[in-house]
Amino acid sequence: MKRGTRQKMWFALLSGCSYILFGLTQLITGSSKALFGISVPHSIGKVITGMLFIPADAIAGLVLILIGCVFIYGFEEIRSGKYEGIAYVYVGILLSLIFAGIYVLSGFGNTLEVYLLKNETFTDWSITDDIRPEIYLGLLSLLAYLKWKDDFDIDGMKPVDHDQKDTDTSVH
Amino acid sequence: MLKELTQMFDITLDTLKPGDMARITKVRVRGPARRKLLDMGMVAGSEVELIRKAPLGDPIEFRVKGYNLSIRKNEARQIFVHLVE
Amino acid sequence: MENNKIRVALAGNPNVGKTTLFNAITGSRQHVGNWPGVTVEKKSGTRIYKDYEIEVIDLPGTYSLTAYSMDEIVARDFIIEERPDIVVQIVDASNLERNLYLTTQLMELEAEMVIALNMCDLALERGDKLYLDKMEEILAAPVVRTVASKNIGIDELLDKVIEEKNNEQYHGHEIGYGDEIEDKILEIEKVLNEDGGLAGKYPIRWMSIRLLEGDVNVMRKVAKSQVSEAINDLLDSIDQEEYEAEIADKRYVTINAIFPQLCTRSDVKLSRSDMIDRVLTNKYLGIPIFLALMWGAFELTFAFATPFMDMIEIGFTWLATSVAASIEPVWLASLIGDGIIGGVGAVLIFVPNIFILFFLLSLLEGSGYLARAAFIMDRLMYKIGMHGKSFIPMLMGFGCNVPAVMATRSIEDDRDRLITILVVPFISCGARLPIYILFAGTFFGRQAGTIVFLLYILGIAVAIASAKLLRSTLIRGKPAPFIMEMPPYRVPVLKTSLIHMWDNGAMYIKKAGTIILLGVIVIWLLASFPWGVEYGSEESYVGIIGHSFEPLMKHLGFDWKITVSLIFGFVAKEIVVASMGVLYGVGDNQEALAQSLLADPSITALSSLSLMVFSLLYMPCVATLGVIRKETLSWKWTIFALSYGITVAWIIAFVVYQGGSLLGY
Repeated sequence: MKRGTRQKMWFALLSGCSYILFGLTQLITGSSKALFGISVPHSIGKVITGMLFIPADAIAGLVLILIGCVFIYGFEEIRSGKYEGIAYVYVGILLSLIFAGIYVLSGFGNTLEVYLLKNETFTDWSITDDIRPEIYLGLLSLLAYLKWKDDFDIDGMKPVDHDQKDTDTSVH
Repeated sequence: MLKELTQMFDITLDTLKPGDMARITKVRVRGPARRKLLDMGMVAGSEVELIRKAPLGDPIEFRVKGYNLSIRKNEARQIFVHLVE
Repeated sequence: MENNKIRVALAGNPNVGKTTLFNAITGSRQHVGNWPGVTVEKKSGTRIYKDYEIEVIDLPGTYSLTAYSMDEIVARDFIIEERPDIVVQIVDASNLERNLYLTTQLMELEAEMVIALNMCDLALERGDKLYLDKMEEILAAPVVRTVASKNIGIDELLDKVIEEKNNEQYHGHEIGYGDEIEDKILEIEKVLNEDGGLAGKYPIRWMSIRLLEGDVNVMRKVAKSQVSEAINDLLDSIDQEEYEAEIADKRYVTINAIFPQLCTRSDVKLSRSDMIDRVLTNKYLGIPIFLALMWGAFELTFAFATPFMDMIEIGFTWLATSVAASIEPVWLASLIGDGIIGGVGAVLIFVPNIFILFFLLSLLEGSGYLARAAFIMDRLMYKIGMHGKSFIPMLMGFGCNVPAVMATRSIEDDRDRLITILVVPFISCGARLPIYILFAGTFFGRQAGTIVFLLYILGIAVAIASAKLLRSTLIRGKPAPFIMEMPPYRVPVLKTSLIHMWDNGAMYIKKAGTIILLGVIVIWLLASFPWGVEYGSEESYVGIIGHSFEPLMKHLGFDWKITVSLIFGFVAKEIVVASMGVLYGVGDNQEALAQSLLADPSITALSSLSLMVFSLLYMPCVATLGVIRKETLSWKWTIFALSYGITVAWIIAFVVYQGGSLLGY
């Protein structure tokens, strides 16, 4: 297997696991708040979610899990020798960048509310409220994208690479 | 008569599997869809490849005349082809 | 300097970068409207270039000119009726075969052509080779390479346009259709030539071919002529369906013959688009990814639009109060303050939403994902009697019904489009939420969330049921066939998206705005008259109307106050809450309003549920009605949308209230 492809495989596993983990936490805290009206109990759980800026947002949690699944799908495909697996890694990176972008822009909107409009419903708000896993996990994806963006270009997906993979995996 | 017979052995476009290549023998679609399909290159003699089916099985995406076109099973069922290769 | 004006029509397939090229040529000097009588977008713009005033008309993007859709009829009629000086066809260099099909038809229309070979960079990068000299020779038209998204080749294109305009001689080109068809063409041409009027106006060979193909539109042109009977006799003897296939076939045969001389295509089996599509249309991941992206778009719309909406609201409230304070007499202050300024405010408050939704929609379209969304959702939509393309507009309805109705423009078939427009208002938009929050929060406590969720589901269910009902009554038939190109994914051009956003936003303000203003003033008049009554009180016309409807509305559990609030809700549904505040004399105070609602014996949990159901369904707000009128170009359907909504709302609210009473709630 090509070195770049192997790197992508491990990146996919790492990203996939963290997205699913963060997504699950977010889903649990979010749905427990929505269904039973309770926040995470005062315990280690709360400290962790607080430190990692994990909001109680069930749907956003589902989205995180979904992005994680795309990465894991890619990991599986590459591991089983399919070069097409990097398409999943590529789309996973794009999705995580899109959602990071969405929350950065939302944060910008909230900042406007606070500093420009002095909206009363936002009195308790601080910029840290808008830091969320989507954003800092997105940074990881951004690095990966910058490193590999040429690999994801048309050239990188020519059949040439495809053949190379075939010979490599036969040795594997 | 001979033409009819060969058509009996033809299959319809919706029965292909992803990756299958086929050549169109007859477009039996009626109505405005016929015009549109012809315009989009679904004419007798064209080579088509089934690329993928939509997540729910319908519509189906084909590659024809160097681009990707998707149509419903309904229409694909009325396009006759024979397999290439 | 009359002869220094050049009229140029831009023709081309969809997804070939036509709009981008149009923007690159005309810059900001463009005008967007509708083609006369239809809701196909008409764009035109001018560019002063080397002493020439070049007027560019952007024809709708079409694959063909055979009159399959309104777009094609508009494009074709423009070329044959208006005879622009030059037709520039934008050809996607990476997809020559299908693009040349349109070229063959433009040739038959005897248009003076210049070909802009766009997206050469993509084709070359892929390893294709393009032979421009050969192309110019075979197609008998100048060919210019352009990359519209990077502004490359625009000046060269304009140079060629000017050159071609000054070049008097026309060099046409024909496609041969084989002996049998050519004989028929000759026969028909002979008959058509007997009518000097027709022969002078339209290309005769083109007309003959179209008649052989059974083109209703051309038949109509001939029907007025004295030769129509002779033509009909000739056409009776042939099988038009066979000819149709044969002619299309011959066009592609010709293209196949010349194609290898124009370019050699590198054989890249797996393109980037195919790779991305493996994921985005994946059997298991495709639909969840689509839903996630849509949800993300809403998150962004709300988070980003809210501050701007707040700004507009603050601005207009300030304006209204300062007007009320400074203008005499009081009635004039009220007309300007409550009526006009309030009304304009209600129109403008949606502008940030509409701008952002259209910007995102344009990004989706430009990237090529919109076609995939239709591809993914078509099966479900077909089952309920709609088209895959109807899904996105309906989804946008959750944000605001106004852009949702406008977004139905992407649906080609008129009937599919009409159904979508008529059912969109049942999708619960953001403005209805304040009503649910007040009543569900006040009367249902812990279950409030569930109630609101069920209301959203009810809206969807009513939309689906209505679509099915319309399909079996007023708009019979099956949804139009799904025949759609899946264009390659591309990075959307920011400038194109921004212009698209601006055009639609401006269109909303200009066109819908006038109708909305009218509606708002009518409501104000009803609330302020007869002379001297308190605004919106029991004695005003609106109060009287509320009272007179009470016999009808009491079956739903509503008294006159609720009825009056609902009438006000016509302006914008969130106003229902505000006007209840006024009627209960508590103003803006939500807490006090909730208390007085609980204290009012005429409102129970059941009647509040019935009220929420009614507010969800009862009628499109005046802004939505404005765009429905604008997009259907029909008062009949606009009034239908209005009365159908009220009827459905009344029936369902009746079932809820009476059913609930029977069950002892």
